[in-house]
Amino acid sequence: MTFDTIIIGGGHSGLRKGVSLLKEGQRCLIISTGESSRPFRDPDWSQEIERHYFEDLGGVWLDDRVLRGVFESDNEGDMLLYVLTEKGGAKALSAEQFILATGSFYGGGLAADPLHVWEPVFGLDVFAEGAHKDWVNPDFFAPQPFMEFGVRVDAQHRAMRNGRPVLNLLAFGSVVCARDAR
Amino acid sequence: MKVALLFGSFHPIHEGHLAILRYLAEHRLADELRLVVSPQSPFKQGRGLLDNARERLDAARVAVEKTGLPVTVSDVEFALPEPRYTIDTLRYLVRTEPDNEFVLVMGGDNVVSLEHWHLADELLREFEVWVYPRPGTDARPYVDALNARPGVRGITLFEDAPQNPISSTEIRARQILHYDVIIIGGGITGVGVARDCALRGLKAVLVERDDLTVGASGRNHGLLHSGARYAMGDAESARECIGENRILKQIAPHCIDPCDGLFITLPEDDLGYQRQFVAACLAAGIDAEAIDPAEARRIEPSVNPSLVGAVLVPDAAVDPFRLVFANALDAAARGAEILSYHEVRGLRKDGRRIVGIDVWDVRGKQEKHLEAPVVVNAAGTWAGQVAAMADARITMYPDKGTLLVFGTRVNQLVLNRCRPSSDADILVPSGETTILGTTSQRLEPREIPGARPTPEEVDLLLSEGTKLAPRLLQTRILRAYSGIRPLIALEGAEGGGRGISRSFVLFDHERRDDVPGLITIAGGKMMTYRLMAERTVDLVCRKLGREVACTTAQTPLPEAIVRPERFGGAVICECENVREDEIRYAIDQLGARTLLDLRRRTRVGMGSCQGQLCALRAAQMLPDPDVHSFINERWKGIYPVAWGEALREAQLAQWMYKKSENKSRQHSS
Repeated sequence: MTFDTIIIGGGHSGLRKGVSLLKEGQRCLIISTGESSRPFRDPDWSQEIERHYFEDLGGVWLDDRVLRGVFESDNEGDMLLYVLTEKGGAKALSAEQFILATGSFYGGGLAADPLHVWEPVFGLDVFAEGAHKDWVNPDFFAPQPFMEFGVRVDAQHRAMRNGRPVLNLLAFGSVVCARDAR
Repeated sequence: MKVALLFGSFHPIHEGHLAILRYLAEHRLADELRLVVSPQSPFKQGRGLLDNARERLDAARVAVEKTGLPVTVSDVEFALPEPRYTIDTLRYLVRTEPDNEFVLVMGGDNVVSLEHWHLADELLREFEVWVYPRPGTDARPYVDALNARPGVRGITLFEDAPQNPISSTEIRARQILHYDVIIIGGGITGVGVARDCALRGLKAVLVERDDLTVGASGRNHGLLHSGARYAMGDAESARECIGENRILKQIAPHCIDPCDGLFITLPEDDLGYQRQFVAACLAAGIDAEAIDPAEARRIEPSVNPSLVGAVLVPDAAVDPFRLVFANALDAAARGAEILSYHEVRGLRKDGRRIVGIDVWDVRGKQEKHLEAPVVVNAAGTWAGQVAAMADARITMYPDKGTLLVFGTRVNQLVLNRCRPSSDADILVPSGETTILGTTSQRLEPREIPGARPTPEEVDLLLSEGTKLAPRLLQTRILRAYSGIRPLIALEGAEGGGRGISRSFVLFDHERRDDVPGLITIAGGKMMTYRLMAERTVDLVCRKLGREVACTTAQTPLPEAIVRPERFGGAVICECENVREDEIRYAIDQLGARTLLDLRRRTRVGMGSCQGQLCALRAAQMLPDPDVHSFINERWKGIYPVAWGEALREAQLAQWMYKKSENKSRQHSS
């Protein structure tokens, strides 16, 4: 089975994108670990209902974790050729277009050690400043710098890698740094 | 028979109460007059000083007897479950004394709020009410309004009854309350002294400006030293520790995890130190045994596998919160008064002699005056400020120590480095978590209120501490916290020398500073509190001329915090398995009002979610449901370790607790 778009992440953003692409007539695959932070923010939102809707429209859901991707570079920028998953082993999943919707720290779309913040699947460019002591404000209820962190995207929402956009990889939802998302 | 009931705390009983009883008796309005004295649990803060309910009851009996009036004093409410609403007591009386007809007697000031009472409509339908006037309140309009309601049994206002201008509240403000001993400070030392006093038959009162355990007593390692750590440099401390280690394991087994400990030598350490160390331990009476590194790895799989030496010692873990509340509860049960949220405003003096203290009841919002022949300063880090009020000088050396809590129990035994004490060289298992400590930084007194963990201290703890158990690197950090060691200079101590010690000192300010009536107990360690209390109360007894032997080493402590399996109801905090009934118990019996109080009594919010999931649920049950300050307090310990899992949880908390802000931001964008 071939797909026009592979969406990585089956939370609120991934499912919403999936549904709208299916309605445009695309063939669509979501690869998801099942995690979603949305219910903590919006108790009325149900991942289960949205997933059924996505599948009813012809979308395919895969319970798996994307480990990495393989890129090809040319003068225009990078192209993501395929992704490899935990359960799939060496089996490559390819598509015309990919969408990254893996969420922020809670969802696993971002990771942090005391000195660095990174995007763990593709090693995309991340907006984050300083080391751990710079990421937080001692007042919980004040704005927290880490809440703004995320993957850099260009004006067309293409994810940035080594300072250049990945031409067929879009990023949506809380994986995207708040500045670029606005 | 018609029985007129006058409810109240009678705190204290006074002429106003007696005047109304006299009036009712003269007019033969009832066959029987009965005072119903309401008990208050010993920990209900903000209530007052004569909070020994039995004493109030006895005082009421004596006062009534003296008048010769046909009045009985009832303790029926002492046996009724909390919360005790008047309607519950009235219905109970109707059930148990079906032949009697009960009338509720109250002051005009109470009628004003009567309609807001619990089940007020039922109460007014089921019972007749008699009202006597109180100065400053015109009860007439309220009585008329209530009488106009359908089904009301009838409210009578005795407008001709004598009015007495005095209220119990006013009397309390003028009253000076007398004790044998006043103790300042609600840490482990203060509650230990209060319990020791109570056991020796002394009438003691303890005042604490905040909650019990808010200082160093609630912010330490929870290590029940074997004394091994001090064996090399400070044999006296080592002997104190091993003695108290054995005693506390006997009298407080429910507060202690007798896990034992290892002192490990790593390749970079000097193995020759281990031999001297074992010899010093044995000389101090500590059972220290050098064991094979392979045996150490077998009994403690988390230990750094590259260790070259290990010594097994009887270290243990102690829950300091339980230990404090066990002492406080037992002290209160034996007649001591524990007044938390009472701040010392000044010392009462007679010349240079200290005869008492003036305190501000923070929650009851009134000043109180306490006097006693001896005042014990057990204010810990703040002992210097208390002494200064008496014109005595104590030099404290507040020293900040920062610790890290890990989200799982990494090690089964306490792990120490076998080398001279340094930063981050103790790892103590604490229930289902692990605590790594500690740092050491001298503070100026003005820096104490703002002392909190810094990211730099966290980095230091991690780089050193992970050498004890490398698995820590892969373990989630829950939070960081800082405590202030109340170290003290020894000048002029009883039997002391010079310098700064980790041992305790007892100052008799009469001999040292010509300030009779004041004693300071300071320094020391959480786990030697009992010995500190014993020495202190020995001195108190000498001063009072009432030499009674100390029995705390033989008298087991009660289980302050009842084991969770005994409580029922819905689970409120999953991480620490705290159920509804335990929270009610903490509110009713241990005086919890806020989430912060509750955490210290039940461990709510101390587990892996750090209060995120349980705070809102628990807050709904509390008298003061402020979640904001609780979440910010927890955040103080999380932001210095905000990476990895802690950052994930922090993000979740941001979404959950700043939801309204997020919503409004979404709408505006």
